[in-house]
Amino acid sequence: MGRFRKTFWQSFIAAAVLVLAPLVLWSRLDAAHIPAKPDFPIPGQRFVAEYGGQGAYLAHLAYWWNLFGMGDRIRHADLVLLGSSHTQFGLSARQLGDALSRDLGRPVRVFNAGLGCDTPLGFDASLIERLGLRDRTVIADSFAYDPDPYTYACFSEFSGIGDAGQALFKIGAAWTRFAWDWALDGVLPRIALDNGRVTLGRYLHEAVTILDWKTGDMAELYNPEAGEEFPHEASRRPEAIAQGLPWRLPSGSIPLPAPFDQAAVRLGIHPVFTLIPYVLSPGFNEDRYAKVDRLLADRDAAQRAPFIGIAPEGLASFDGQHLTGEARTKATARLEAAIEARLAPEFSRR
Amino acid sequence: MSYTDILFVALFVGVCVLSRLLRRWPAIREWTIIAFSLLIVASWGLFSLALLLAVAAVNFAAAVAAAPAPQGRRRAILIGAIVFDLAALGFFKYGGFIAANADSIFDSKLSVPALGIPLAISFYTFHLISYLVDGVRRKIPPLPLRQYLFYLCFFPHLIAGPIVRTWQLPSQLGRVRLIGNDMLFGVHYFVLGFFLKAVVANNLAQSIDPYWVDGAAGLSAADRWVIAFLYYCQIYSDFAGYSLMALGMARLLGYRLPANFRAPMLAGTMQEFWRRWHITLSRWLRDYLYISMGGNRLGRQRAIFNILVTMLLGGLWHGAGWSFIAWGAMQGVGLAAERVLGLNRKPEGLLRRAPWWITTQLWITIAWVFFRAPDMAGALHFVGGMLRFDHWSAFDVQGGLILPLLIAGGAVLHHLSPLCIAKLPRRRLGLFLGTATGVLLMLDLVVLSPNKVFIYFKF
Repeated sequence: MGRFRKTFWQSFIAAAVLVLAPLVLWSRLDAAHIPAKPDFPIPGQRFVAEYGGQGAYLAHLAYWWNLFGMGDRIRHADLVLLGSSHTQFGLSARQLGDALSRDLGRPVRVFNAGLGCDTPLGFDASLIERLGLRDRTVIADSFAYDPDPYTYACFSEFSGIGDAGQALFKIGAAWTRFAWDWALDGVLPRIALDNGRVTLGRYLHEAVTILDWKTGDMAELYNPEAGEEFPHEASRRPEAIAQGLPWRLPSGSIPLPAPFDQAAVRLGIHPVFTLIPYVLSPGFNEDRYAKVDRLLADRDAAQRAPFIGIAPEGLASFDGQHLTGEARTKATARLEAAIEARLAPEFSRR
Repeated sequence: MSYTDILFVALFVGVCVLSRLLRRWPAIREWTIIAFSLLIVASWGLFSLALLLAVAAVNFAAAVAAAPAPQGRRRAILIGAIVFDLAALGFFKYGGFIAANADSIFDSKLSVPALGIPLAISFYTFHLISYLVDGVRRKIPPLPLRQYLFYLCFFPHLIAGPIVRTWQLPSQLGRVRLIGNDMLFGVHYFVLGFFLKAVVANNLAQSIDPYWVDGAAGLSAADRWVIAFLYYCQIYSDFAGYSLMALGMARLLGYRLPANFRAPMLAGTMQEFWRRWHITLSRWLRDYLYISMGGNRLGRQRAIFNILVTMLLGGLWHGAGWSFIAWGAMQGVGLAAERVLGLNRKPEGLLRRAPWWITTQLWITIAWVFFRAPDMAGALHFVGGMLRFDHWSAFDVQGGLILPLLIAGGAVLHHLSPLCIAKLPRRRLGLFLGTATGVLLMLDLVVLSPNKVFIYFKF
């Protein structure tokens, strides 16, 4: 029996090494042709919010279940930025917080709670109610206007999570999967069997979205084929936005969207709206455009909310929908200037 | 947390190391494994954990109360506990199905809260019934708490079997076990099971799932047969893969679980199929349902009735839906037909065996359509198309199915491996198993596995 065991382990190791060697060699040779992998997101500084099919809803879970103190950071922020991925990419909570703190002479905490996966403001209204925000100013992107909290693409997966522990395991599983793929990237290749083809590619095979741990800002969008797409776009040519924006709205007021009219009264929330510039692509998200169009045209709404316009001139998008890193800096500065003019007294009072 | 998640594998390695360190203290070791098992259930939701603990507590109390009682009272207590278990299973698993059907027939407006099926309820209910019935029959004494919890919650079998009988696991507890080959076979089973699930089943699912969604429009009859066969390979790889991982995990911790599969595609009769497919379930159904109803002791007609009822309930156990009942009915009809025609004895010789093997496997392949199709109408539509060979184009097979067929080769090869091993000289066995395990480990590492839950986790 000892001989059987010895032969087993020897042949096990030999077979593994023989299969491994050409794979490692291929991976090393291929490494010259693929973009460098992203810096590893160290917990406490950055976190993986989406990793391909392994949970496009990790930030939703972390905020909703108040994991790693993220719900608390939203709850204790002086100013919360809400919306979809347009907000995630288009505004910088850190930049806004620094500027407002400097101007007001006291620390102003800003959190970017924009969520990917086409998340509507209806979900945001549920989130701030769940987290118990009171007497707070929120800035919401009108693009995410949709009263129904349950229409976004990830809801079916998100709703399957019933408690914080389950959410923690979901996030842990996705983060571990990312860490594993990240560690083996460049060491081993990945064989994909899909669409009737066998392809050999890199181990880190899916796009990853990394957010800032403390502010929720988009830290990096990394695509395994193109490399870093945000904030420093590596391959795509940025698209100028000024000509493609469907609405040009001057600052003023707009009808208060339905999900906020109740929450605003009940919680003392002061919603302020904006529209982060983007390119209107025909055939893409047309129903969303139609909804936003209807919202903005609703002149008979009982309640209205302040609207801060962000001029699109000089802004660019890396994919038509989301601002580039450079454009984010400009858009945030424009928003900050308008906030200073219109909302500074509110912050000064608190 | 799925057993193919890296997080799970990492935690499991930690538990293995801890288990080795604690092997001189079996009680502490077993409590550690129980705690880890409960953590696994908690990762699927606290509701599932709370229900498991509540049901476990009721059954433990019933068994303790029944032990010193006289025969009649003991029987009443244990039957009460079994009714409780079945009521819990019925409410959580079949409540919505019963309400929906009652509503459509009687317009009853019954409403059942949509709680979802708690994790593993079908499996632990069967474990508990086995424990209680064997208790009534005085086959086993009531188990102490630690052994009871270990038997019920041991994570390799908890979520999707194998269904372990009370005499199989607790007898291994409370002892220091040192078996040299446990590590070797544990690694082999785990790596092989992981390969079948992550590489074969998940990639097959990714390839053929879309065909089940849109009603298989535009598929030829041959396409449909290929897709049904691919699903046969998918569910085999999924469930046999899981079962092998369970066996491997148990072996790595020093315990043995019963095998659940033995090359079912080689079965030449329906009866043989059920001795090769989900073996622990078919044995459970035989011992606690079929034999309890009289088995074949009450004449041929009654035996056939018992087979049909057993397989219908077996189908229903898999899921609350008419298509699962239809799948069970097809198994029952197949077994009953064999019994009536006297075909259930395995014919000798390859040539005499071949027609029965083909008939059996075709019948099983058609039955899988009912198991997989989203609903009964979809299944009937799909099967209708399988039988429509009215034009030469019915024999056309899409090019897109060639790669899935190659992937399915993994499942077919796994069926043939026992034949190869049987022909090997004993001294070459280590070389063969070691080489296969090493190659499969590398494939586990490098072949992309689409994210798919184990099919039987939903039951």
